[in-house]
Amino acid sequence: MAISKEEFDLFRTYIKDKSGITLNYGKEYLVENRLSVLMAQNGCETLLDFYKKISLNNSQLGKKVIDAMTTNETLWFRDATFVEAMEDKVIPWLIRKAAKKTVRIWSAASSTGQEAYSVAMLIDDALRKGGAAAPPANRFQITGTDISPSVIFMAVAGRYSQLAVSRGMRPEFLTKYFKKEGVVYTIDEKLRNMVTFKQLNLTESFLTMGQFDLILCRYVLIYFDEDLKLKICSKFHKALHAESLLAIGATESIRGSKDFTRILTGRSTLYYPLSKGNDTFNGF
Amino acid sequence: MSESNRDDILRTLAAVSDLPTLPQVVTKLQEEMASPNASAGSISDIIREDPAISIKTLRVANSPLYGLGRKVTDIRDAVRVLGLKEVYNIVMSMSTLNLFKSDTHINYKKFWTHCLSVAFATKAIFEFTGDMERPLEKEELADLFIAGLLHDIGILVLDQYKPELYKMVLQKVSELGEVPLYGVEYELLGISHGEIGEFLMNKWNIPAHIATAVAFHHRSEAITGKRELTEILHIADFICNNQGLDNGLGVLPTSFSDEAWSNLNLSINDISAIIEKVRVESENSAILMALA
Ligand SMILES: C[S@@+](CC[C@H](N)C(=O)[O-])C[C@H]1O[C@@H](n2cnc3c(N)ncnc32)[C@H](O)[C@@H]1O
Ligand SMILES: [Fe+2]
Ligand SMILES: [Fe+2]
Repeated sequence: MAISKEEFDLFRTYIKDKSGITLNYGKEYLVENRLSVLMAQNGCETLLDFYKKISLNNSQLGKKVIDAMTTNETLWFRDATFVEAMEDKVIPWLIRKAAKKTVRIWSAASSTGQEAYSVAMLIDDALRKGGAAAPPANRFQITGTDISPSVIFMAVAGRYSQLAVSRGMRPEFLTKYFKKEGVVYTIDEKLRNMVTFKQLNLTESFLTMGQFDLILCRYVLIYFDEDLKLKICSKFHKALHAESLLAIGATESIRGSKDFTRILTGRSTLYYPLSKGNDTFNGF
Repeated sequence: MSESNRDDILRTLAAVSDLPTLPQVVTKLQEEMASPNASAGSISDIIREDPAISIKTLRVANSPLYGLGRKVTDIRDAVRVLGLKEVYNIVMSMSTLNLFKSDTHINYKKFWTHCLSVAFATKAIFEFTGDMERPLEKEELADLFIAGLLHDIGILVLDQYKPELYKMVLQKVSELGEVPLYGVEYELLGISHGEIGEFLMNKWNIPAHIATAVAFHHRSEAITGKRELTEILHIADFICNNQGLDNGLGVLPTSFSDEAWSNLNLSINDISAIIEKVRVESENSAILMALA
């Protein structure tokens, strides 16, 4: 199947309307494969038929299309409720931990780095506000992993376009943590040194990763079937310390997993690993 | 509309009688290098016939680019010390950097600095490649320089021979802000600067494998057969753009081909070192720009 410009545009507009995400041209070939699978599953012969089907208010299918077409898309400070929970609860809890030990955080599908760097900014900001009493920044180790070398390269390079920094960024953080070089915004050296990026396929072993206090696995489980999703959750469970948390996307769920229980903090999706000691979370 | 534009563009270019040509010295050099009797002597004789190119070639040979530690006094000496292909690359650079100089909205200095940076960057990338299914020969490394030098030349051709259409392309790229140039080219023209570059390179009798790399530098997956040259060119182009060594027309690229990266067996752990090496190598482009 070769996707035509016009067909691509139809889906491009649909995604833009439904999710606010603008797809790049040049991504057609990526999109092609994913769409053709969905198309076949739904008994459509042509992309146009398929488009008619989703645009006739089939929101279930529409969501799948959005997921399929936005694989690398990411934002700074994604999900307001999550960021709020991070600032109010999670980071103060981590800072308390950091008084005694090194705190390890894993962004498990880090894409071009926005998620990992957002956490680094929130931590650095909280540490500054904590003043002399705050633990040193090197007590925090953030690891970002992704399957795609291309997004990891972008994350390591830490150079973002005007458009990329406009997505979700807080103006005061843009001034504080980025340097403008021509049309490019370069991330602060200090933040970059807080984060290490590696390549990892979530379907493979996590043995080299070590143990974490917080794992963020957001907007990637949606690409896996239920079975695989639960397998990955159980691997996360093994990679977490007893007193730790797993964060997933605001629109996602791992209800099927017996390894975790949900922590209720607003609408944010934070989970606590069970059977690792105390079965209720007392961190906040 | 774009299909018919594509045909129209190719027809126009095929009919254009004043497409830029390479100086005679380059054409003769290419012929000689392809012949089995080529020798340092015969090559030197050809270059000497063009005094302007000879002088420039000697200047480059004695520049910090090679850091030879002694003065190269004549072309024969340069060919012996640097090798045939290297001298050919110098002559080629000195000849092409002065083509298409007519004044348009393209910033030529930035444009050619990008092309030279990519040409030098290919060497840096090559050093970090791991085992490949089809390893590159040392000879091909020299070819990569030419591929880098000419990879975006199709842009200049389109801008010169289809100015109104191309203005629309450039306008749309700057309006949309995040779309790659070649994407808009396919959309509005039905063809990209890669294929146009290949077209010109064929006219110039540049070896087909180099022209192919140029044709596919934005979509290396589409090549069947040996892809490594194209893949190195693709990654080198991406990194230069990412590091602000862009051609002045596009936007910050958002991705490269993961397939290319993996096939070249490049390592994630080397990213910072690769960036550093690309930056160092690409500084050489200033030397060539100044001497052209
Ligand atoms: C939609 S992005 C989410 C980025 C970020 N976590 C966020 O929430 O903004 C999904 C990322 O998952 C990565 N990914 C997809 N499949 C993966 C796998 N099997 N293992 C690791 N990463 C994967 C993609 O490369 C992409 O960068
Ligand atoms: Fe290009
Ligand atoms: Fe380029």
